[in-house]
Amino acid sequence: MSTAGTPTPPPLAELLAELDGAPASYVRLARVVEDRRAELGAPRRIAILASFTTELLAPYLVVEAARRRFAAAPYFAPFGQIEQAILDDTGPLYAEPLALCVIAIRLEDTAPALVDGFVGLSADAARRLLTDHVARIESCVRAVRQRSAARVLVWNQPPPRRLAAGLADPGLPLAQAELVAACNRQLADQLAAIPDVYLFDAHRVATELGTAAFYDPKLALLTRMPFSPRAQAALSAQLARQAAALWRAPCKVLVLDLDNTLWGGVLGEDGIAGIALGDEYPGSAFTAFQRVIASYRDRGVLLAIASKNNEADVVELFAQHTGLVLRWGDFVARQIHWNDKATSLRAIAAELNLGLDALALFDDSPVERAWVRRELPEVTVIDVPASPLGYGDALDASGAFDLVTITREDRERTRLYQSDQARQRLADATGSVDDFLRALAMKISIGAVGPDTLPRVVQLLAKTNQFNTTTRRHGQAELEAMIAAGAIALWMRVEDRFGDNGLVGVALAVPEPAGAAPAAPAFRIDAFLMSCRVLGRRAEHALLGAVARRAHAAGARTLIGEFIPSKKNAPAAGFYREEGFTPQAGAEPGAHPARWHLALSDRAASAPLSDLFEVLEVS
Amino acid sequence: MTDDVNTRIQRTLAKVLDLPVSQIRPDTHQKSVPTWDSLHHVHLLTALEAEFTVSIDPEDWLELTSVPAIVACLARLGVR
Repeated sequence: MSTAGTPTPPPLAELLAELDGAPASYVRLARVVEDRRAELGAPRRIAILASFTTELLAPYLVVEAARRRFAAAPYFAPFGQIEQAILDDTGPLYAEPLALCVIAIRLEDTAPALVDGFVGLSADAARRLLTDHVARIESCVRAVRQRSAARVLVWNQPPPRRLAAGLADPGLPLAQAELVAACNRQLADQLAAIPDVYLFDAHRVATELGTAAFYDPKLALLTRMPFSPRAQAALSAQLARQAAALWRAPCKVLVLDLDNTLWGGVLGEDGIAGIALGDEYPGSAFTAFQRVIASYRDRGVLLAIASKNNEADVVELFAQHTGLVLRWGDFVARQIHWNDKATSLRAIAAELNLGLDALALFDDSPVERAWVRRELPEVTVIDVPASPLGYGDALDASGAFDLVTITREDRERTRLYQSDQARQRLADATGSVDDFLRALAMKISIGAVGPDTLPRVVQLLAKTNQFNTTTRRHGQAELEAMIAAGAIALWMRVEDRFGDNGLVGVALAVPEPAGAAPAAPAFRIDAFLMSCRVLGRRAEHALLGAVARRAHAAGARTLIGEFIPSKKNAPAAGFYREEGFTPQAGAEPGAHPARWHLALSDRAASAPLSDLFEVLEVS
Repeated sequence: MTDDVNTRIQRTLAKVLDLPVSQIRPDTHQKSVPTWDSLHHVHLLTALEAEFTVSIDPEDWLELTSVPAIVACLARLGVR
């Protein structure tokens, strides 16, 4: 590979992959990066002005910047001399062009009364001190703005290491946690009007790490660096990521593979019923990933498909499968064929009239990723872990779609604020169970069991214990035979304003007497069950209504309910009585199974369902 | 103290102080290593704490200026 005397150095990215997160690894790799800085383009000078010492951050920052593919040249202003550094027009801060100016001022350092002295302060005094703190930061930012065109990144306040009032904090008229939130809110508001100023969410970094791991009291006392080495690495990673997002346009299109990316398994081999997608693991991992993708769609990221598959199979799956979160129409470009992926990506870029650098590929296959990396170096190829459990985090961590503007953040905050208020109103307004159920805005969809829902239906039959009238554990083959013999087999999904509960109900009604289809006088409900996720929502009423209508439409005049008590199914014991069934004449009390009858008049079968929810019969 | 622990100490010092492992000897002292400045002293101690999952006493923090001192301190902390 290498000839004597002139060994080829490995690519920098390969060396960076050796990073193990330990301090020694950062310090060593920082030297490697500095030796090979030229490979990363012109260095970007990043000034850090802080109320604590920050020089220790240097190796972390240099390495994390290199991982985001830029060369960072950090400049650390002398500790605690923030204003002096900013106001010295001829000082070192402005001696060379500045790409980014980071201002990190903590309450702990500048307003300790708001931290350990918090309990002794009145709420008014606390608010005054807070306003002073924010005003100080604002004047620093304005002073930088007047003197430099650098982007300014302002740290918000992380959660304190300890709460001065301890357990009592949440009950205080102004809780310390609330004060921190108010601080960060005020910072956002005060800085919003100053151009090219952004918030750095140190609070979030601390939250992700946990305050116990974030702070290092010993290091703080010995060196005035308040954060643990792990926190220094995490803060530097976030800083580098945000800096990269400030001067690099985000990708616009998320190009997705299908097999083992959007669902588990291979559609062409496993078929619609065989792929993993839906409510149960491992399908649920793919559904969860689709939800993450949907959140990118909602942010304005375009979605596209590049898959080696038969397009007709994929179209059929999107038309039929109930476990999908993403819809066919969510994809603005689709390349589904057997050509290579580089060709597909070129076609997507051409179709959307975008450069290849606007594309980010998410594909579970390392071979495809390597191929695209080699053929199309402009495309962002996202590293994908082996397990689908990590897909969403990998997409988030890539930063491929990072956008940072304060106005945008404000918009998000407003939305969150409004939904919190809405939830609060819901709780306040809830007078009765029916009111609460109405307020849940449930949407129930019901359909005939088909190949895509069969696995989940069999699973529910196998594991539902509480709301289960007969606890009959039919297998897939039995179920298919019953359907072939004319059984009404329905699934039910329940969605409400707080989310989708998934496929949570099954009803199975067979012609009675057996073999009487297609003109059976009655249908017997062989199995009727609901997942405990939706107990107490009256959703069973909707499912039974659908069974009754279909039985009536098939010409039956009677619906027969059975109840077989088990150790656990008491929740379903009163079901048929509540739904207006009458115990079968002549049946002895306590006879098993207890049989119940409901006459299917034209009127009953078409009677409006409860006004508590919206029902949609999809098939 | 096992060879394994000595090797890990050597490797950690080499990484942080930018020296070949062979130059980290049982008697290496801060005085003879120009890259062992006060900033790298902090990096070195945080690196040792991470490598051996120990917490070095603040009292020892400024005293660990040689390989023998580091070896003795880690032994006191139960590193075998």
